[in-house]
Amino acid sequence: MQSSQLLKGTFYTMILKVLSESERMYGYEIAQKVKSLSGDEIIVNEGSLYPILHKMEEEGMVVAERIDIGNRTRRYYTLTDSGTAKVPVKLEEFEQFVEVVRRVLYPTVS
Amino acid sequence: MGVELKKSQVAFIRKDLEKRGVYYSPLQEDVVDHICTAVEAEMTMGVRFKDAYVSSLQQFYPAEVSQLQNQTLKNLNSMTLLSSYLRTAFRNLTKHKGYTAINLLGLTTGLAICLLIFLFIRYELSYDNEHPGENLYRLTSTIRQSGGQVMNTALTGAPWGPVMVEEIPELLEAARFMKYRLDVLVAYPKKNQSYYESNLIWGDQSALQFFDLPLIEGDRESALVNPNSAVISEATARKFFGDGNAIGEILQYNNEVDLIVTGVMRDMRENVHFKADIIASFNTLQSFWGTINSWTIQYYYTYFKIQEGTDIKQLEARFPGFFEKHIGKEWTTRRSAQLQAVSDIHLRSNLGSELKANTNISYLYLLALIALIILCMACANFVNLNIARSLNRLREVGIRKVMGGLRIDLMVQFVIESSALVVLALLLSLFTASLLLPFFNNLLGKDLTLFVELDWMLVFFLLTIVIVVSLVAGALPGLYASSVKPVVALKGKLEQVLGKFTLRDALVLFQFSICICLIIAVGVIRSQQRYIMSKDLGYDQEQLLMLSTNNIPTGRLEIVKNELLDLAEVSEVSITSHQLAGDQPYHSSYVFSNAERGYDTLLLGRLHVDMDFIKTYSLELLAGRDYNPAIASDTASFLINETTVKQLGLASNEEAINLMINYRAQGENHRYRRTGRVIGVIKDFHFQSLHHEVEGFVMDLQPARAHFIACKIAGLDNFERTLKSIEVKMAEMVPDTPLDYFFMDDRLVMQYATEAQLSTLLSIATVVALIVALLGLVSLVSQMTAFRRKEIGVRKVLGASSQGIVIMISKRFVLVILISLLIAGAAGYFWMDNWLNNFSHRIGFPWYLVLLAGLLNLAVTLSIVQLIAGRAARLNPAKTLRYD
Repeated sequence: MQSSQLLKGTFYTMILKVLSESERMYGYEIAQKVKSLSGDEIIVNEGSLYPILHKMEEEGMVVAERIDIGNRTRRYYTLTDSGTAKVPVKLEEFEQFVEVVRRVLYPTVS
Repeated sequence: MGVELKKSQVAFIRKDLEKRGVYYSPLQEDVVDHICTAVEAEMTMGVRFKDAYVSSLQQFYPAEVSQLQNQTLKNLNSMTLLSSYLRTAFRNLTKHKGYTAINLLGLTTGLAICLLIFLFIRYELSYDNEHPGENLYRLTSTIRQSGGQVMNTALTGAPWGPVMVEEIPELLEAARFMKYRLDVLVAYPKKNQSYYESNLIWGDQSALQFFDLPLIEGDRESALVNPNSAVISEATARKFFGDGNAIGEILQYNNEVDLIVTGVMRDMRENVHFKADIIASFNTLQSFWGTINSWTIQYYYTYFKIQEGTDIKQLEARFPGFFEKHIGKEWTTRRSAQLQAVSDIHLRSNLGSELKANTNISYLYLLALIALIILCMACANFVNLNIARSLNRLREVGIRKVMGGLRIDLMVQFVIESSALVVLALLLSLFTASLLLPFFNNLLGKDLTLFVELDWMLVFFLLTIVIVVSLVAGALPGLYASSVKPVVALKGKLEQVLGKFTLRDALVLFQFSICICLIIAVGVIRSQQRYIMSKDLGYDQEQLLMLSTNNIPTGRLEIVKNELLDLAEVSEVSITSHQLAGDQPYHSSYVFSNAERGYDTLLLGRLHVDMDFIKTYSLELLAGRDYNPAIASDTASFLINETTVKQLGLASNEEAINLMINYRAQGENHRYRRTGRVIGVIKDFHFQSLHHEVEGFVMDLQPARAHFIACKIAGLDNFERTLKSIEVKMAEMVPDTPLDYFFMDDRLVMQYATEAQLSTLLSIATVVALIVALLGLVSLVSQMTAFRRKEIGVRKVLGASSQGIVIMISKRFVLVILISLLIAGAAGYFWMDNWLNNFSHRIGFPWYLVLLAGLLNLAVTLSIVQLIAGRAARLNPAKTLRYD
């Protein structure tokens, strides 16, 4: 899918949601997960993934754990309590957004 | 099973990403891991590493990857960045443990010794600055002798102060002190207790208002108004009365004067120029102290509160008129009086009869200088080590090649790393200093504390160090990297002037010079101390046990003496007026004459002895004879020393025999007037410390002035037993009196307490300086070998031996040590020769010490070079040359 402009605003929500379904994930894993869930339609551009992850870390939505995996260090991200609480809020926000967009694009005369 | 990258491949990717501008550590880890995972996935499919990397990177971020970092950092706030920098710094520091340890150790040691010296100096400066009285001055006086000798003394006449206040309006109020030169007996008759007090001072009521002497009990305004009253310290109150009430209790001075306790004061702090445990009212002296009304007998201290804004010089100019009016013209031709600020006493006063040992301010300057130098050494080493490491990292990262300039955030990382180290070193040094403080206090006999109250000077001092050192050590390499040109230009010019003299050589030269100089100083001071201790004092100070005659009635002294002589352990006994170890001599005028003519009137030291004086002290008789009990006229005979003979201008000692001496009464004190003959001349002996020249001395018999009983102990064995039997014997003869004794040689050592203190401090400083310099040297040599790793490899390939390479590296150090030997030798000579001139009896400057210090430095340096460079030189060149 090419329309990355449209997607950009929803990356935050997607990453949050993907993380909420797993104990802990590292960056590459998150990107792969999004990719496979979308049937290879959505490639989370690393240019967006890492800035978002680091911002989330600063906001306290996720914590990063440094794990030695033999030849390098891997940073695993886990949702915090406030991150978990944020998931339904973000999903709700997204639903409303889609609803609003739909109303604008496909106005039904009631 | 997928492919797993080798560590070197991961390192390659990390380095390449760093070159491309991804070095914000948390992001770098993410990206490295991400790309590695992608590469591993591709390699599992059979793609070669290099190709897999190129395509993964392309896929990961098609644009310049440094933009990813910019994008990430843009969204984060500065606190996150700072904490990340700190974490990275911590990780870097723990990764390079050797480097961190050397850096920390050097800086911590340097800072800790500086802190201790700072505390010492602060303490010395704090003397006498808490007194409630403002504009306090002490009256001092000067006596010019006929021979041109000048004596300065803190002692004044008792009536001077009050009359001066009456007649000179600028002098607002006076306070007087009197302190007997020996310990005095104070008893509490109610409980039959008695102690020797060394800190009993007789003082005016005004002294309580002048000085920092707050009363816990009693009225500060009136406690010393009445005769026979006394203010005692808390500790003294506890000693006599336990927890019971002190006010109104009666103590007895010397079994003759009652003192009613009218106040209890806080124990005096150490940083005051006098120490009092008991202050008895000055006007009590009126009833029993004979010379209290004499204008010419100087045995008292006088302090004034002076009107604000008074010109002290003009005030002093009016003193001669005052003394001419009250004492006479004759007095003012020889003597004068001056004023001295009380706050100056501890650091700027060195008069006869000071109430407490003072410090010379130049001594503090010296310490401050040493602290500063050690700090400079530690900081220079720290900066040098950091620069070398940072430059290495900059080169690794290839920043200059790629970016052409300096990355500000990389510099921030450097600065944060160095400041983390500095702060850590500071905390460690505070900890070390507080651990060492008790030992330090013990060594110096001080009572320093680290945190009395918030001291802004200390905070400012520490903050400055932290900021300057971390900025210089952190930012300098960055600046260096970004502006190579000016530095190269500067270096080029310097090289033209100095040959290939580099900053590094300067650093080594500086440190070597300091170390050699300090070693010389410590060596000289120790040699002089040894010389002093072993110098023939003109009498035999060994095996002399000194007892105080306090409390023994004059009439009984002869009996006590004979009883002591009866003891098997005691071979000789002699009773004198003074101890021969740092006592203040009396001075009197003696008129010499013979049958034909009058000779001279001399102001000479006065010592009262008994007939066994020469025998007991093993003095050498140069002419004439010793006292002879069989000759009745000998009770009025005199002994004189060689210096007196010289002062009289006589050709030989024999000429002095049979001269008549008329010993003039001083002031109104007629008790000791007498006329007699000189019967013997004694070889000069040292009455005071070796700072002083031997003075002319006259000795006569004067049982009323007996203060010390010297017992010559017969055998070398068992001082304990001897002491016990003397104690038992004395207890029989003078019951209810504690035995007050000391050994002569111990007391002699105490005369040189200041020198001992200087020697201790300098020794510590030298050890610290050596440690700091050594650590600096270790890091320098490792740096040099690391820098020249390739060169060493090439040389080895071309056939150089390991030893040849070590010699090549050592050469430079040997040269620098030789130069520093010249500098330090000259500096050490001027410094120490000057110091030795403080002594009338001194050693010559020991030149061999310069050589010794140089050799020591050379040996240590060469072993370090051998150890570190030797290891590098032994490496297989095939290995060292493989990199790059």
